[in-house]
Amino acid sequence: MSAAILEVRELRTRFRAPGGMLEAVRGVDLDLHEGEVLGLIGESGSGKTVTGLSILRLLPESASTEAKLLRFRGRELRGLSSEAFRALRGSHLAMVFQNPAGAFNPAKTVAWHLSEIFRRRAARGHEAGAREAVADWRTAAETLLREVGIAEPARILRLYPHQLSGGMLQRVLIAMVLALEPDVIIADEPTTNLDNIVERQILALFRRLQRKVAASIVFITHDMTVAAALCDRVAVMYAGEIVELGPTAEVFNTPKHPYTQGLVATATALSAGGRLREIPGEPPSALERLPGCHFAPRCIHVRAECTAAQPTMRGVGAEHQVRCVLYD
Amino acid sequence: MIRATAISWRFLGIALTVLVGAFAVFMVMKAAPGDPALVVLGEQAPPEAVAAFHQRYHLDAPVLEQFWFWFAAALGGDFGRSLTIAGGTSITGLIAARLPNTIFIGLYALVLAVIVSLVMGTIAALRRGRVADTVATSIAVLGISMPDFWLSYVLVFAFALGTGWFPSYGFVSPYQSLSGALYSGFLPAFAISAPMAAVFARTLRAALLEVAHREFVTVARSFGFAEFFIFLHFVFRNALIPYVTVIGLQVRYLLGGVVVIERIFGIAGVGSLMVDAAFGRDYPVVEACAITFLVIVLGVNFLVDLACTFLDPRRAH
Amino acid sequence: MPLWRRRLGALKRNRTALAGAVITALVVAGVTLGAELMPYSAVDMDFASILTPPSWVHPLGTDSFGRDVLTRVLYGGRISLLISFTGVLIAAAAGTLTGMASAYHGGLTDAALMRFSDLLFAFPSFVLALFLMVVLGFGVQNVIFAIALVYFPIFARLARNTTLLIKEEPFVQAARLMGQGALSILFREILPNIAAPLVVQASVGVAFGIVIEAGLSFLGLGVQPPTPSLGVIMADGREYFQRGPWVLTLTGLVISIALLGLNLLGDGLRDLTDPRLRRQAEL
Repeated sequence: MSAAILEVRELRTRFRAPGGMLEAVRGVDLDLHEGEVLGLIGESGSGKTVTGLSILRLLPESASTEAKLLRFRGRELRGLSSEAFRALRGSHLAMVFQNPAGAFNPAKTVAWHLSEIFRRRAARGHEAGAREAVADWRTAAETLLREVGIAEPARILRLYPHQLSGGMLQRVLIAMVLALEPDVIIADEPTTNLDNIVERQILALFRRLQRKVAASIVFITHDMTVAAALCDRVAVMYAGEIVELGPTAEVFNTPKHPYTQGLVATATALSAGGRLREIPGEPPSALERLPGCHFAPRCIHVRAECTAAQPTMRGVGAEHQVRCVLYD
Repeated sequence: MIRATAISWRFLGIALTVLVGAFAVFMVMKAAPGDPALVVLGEQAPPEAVAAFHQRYHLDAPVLEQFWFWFAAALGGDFGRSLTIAGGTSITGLIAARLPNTIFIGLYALVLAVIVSLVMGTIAALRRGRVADTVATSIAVLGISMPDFWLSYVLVFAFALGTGWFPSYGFVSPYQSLSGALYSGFLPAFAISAPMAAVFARTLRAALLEVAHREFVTVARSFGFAEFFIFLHFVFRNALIPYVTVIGLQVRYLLGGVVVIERIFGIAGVGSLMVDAAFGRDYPVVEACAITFLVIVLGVNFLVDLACTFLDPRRAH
Repeated sequence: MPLWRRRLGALKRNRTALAGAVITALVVAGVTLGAELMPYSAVDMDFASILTPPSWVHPLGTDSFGRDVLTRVLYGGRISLLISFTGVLIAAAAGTLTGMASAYHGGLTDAALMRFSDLLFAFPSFVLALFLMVVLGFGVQNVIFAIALVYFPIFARLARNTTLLIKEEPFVQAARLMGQGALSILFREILPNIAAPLVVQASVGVAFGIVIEAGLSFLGLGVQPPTPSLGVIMADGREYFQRGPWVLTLTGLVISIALLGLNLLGDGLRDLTDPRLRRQAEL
């Protein structure tokens, strides 16, 4: 087992809202191992995007994040000044966003975006990056664009973002992130807004590049088939916390948490063309704070102890953990 | 090139508007009560003199023909002659002499407004919610609430009569002395610029705050770009679009303010000419002034439109 | 929380709208009731107290005819407000009807009406008003008409643009399919939904209308003395500005306060009606 490049303990994020305090992330623990792809699965509102943004300190002012521990390569991130943290962003910790059309500066060309990326890369003094002088960026940019599957890089460079399709833009965005050669990439549903054919291409791209660049990736998605295809391990999120964590095959073949079981059942029913068996009920709103397990209201195995106190994570396998009293 | 054709079309549009506008102005003026002949020659003028007057100024021809005479001459640069206030002087000459003053004051006011609003709007947005923001926003609201001709008196009272720092009357033409023009023109320009600066500042603040919440700003931060860089190239750059648009919209009010201010400070501009002509019932002069202002507004709108096309790539395509 | 309580809470929390409403209410009360309550006459001259500076007896001083300035300002304010309000009302009514009709029918009607509206809009407001005074003659009625004409294109454009947006909404389509007449649709379905920005614009419009009226009268081209309007009083005050600056200055201050109230009200209303949707979406 390779070392943990990113360690997160008890991450909590709250938002100020007119109705009160919204707790989007309620104590998330995770480790990202070097070179792996960790899937973060959950439905919308489960807090998976906010988790990613919290780690990178990209939340708006109305949000407050705290954690017991937040380490990158063993270095504690919590106390860092915003300037010191900024130095890490992009060069070591990067993010791929889910809406490529909204990710670009509409007033500037693709070429401008890439040239600024290369300038950022040169500025941080990364040994490999410093070899490409800033003046040389155009050739490097074109090579990079070709690697992400863009056939005519020179033409694309001259264009503005509004002139490109979603799939194109996502490729350029991925190219930009890769150009920085970060150690950790948090990919937030990078294929959700793309149609199926393009989605498959981008996923293939991810697989290829991850092997090539050897980055460690947190892959956020709500689509289990995507997670199954790409991830080494998965963490299942529900109502702001992780309810199950383990190697992908193990979690999908033998799901332990009732919620995961429901998800897997739905996914298999869908792919087999069978009837959709929904999990009855709805996730609790982020404003509610239940005393016990947040899935209890919808759980078919619910017991008295479920609503009494927050269940903790328990081991059910070598690297498999569940947050459920059923597995004591 | 796409842009050249688009620009030529716009130009054509403006020319058409000027034509229709001139026509409208002319026709409406015709509906005004009173016979210019009587105004010039006096109420007791003998009918033969009146008839001769009518013949000389084509007032007996059908209305459309009159318009054609007038417009054709105008295109050639001849707006006719003043009837009453400057008895017989070429209107074109009158306007040509005064236009630079009006434009100078207008531009002076605009530049002041832009500078002040850039500073105030940016501070208010950066220090949002804090004291500086509240102060700036309050000043802005107050600025909008002051009629500019009132403000000019307050300024005169404070800075001219009281302290003697600035002249309270009179304006030195920029052709005579640029520094003189800047000095004597400061109070009038400032009075006009205040309400405009307020509107610009509020627009800029709102635009900056709105753009700052857009996704591409978060994405830029995720790349680790410096905050100032992000502010300049992502936030400010995109906030310029609504900002410049509002500047274009405000020009109409700017020119309105100029008219009254010229009167107060005794500036020999097109505005004060129009007011004098209004009192003197010198209709041709009033018409010519109205059309001059129309052309200025259209011209400025055109320039602002051009600027917006450069600023916003989505419009160019 | 029930919807009406949330809305009331929002209104109370929005200090701008509240402040604006309060100031405007005070101003309106002042000019309607206050004028009657003043012991002085706005017209009778008192040569014993010519040009006295502000004091307890005469809070805004007296003018060159010995008249109490505050009384004149209150009466003048009534006239200025009435003029501006009437003008904007006419503009709003005519403009909204035109804009709605233009958007609803589209095609040539739309193009023609908007071209006409744009032409009006191409002239600087004050210049247009001035021009109209020359053509029509001076006086209260014509000032009202001038303000109405200056504001007409703004309302027409606004009504047209908002109607275009609402026109495609499902409930409008449904009404049309159910055979509801065009007029009925316009007034019962569309109008309530476009009312909000129109009201905001009206509030700002009345403020600016006061400025136009004051400007015209100040130059002598608007309301004619002896009818007192705020501009007329300022024009008076201008004659003897060096000897008695308070007349012009304080009258202008009153105008500014009225404008402040109206602007704040308009601002507050805009905050309440517009980004309410945006703020909800941000969550």
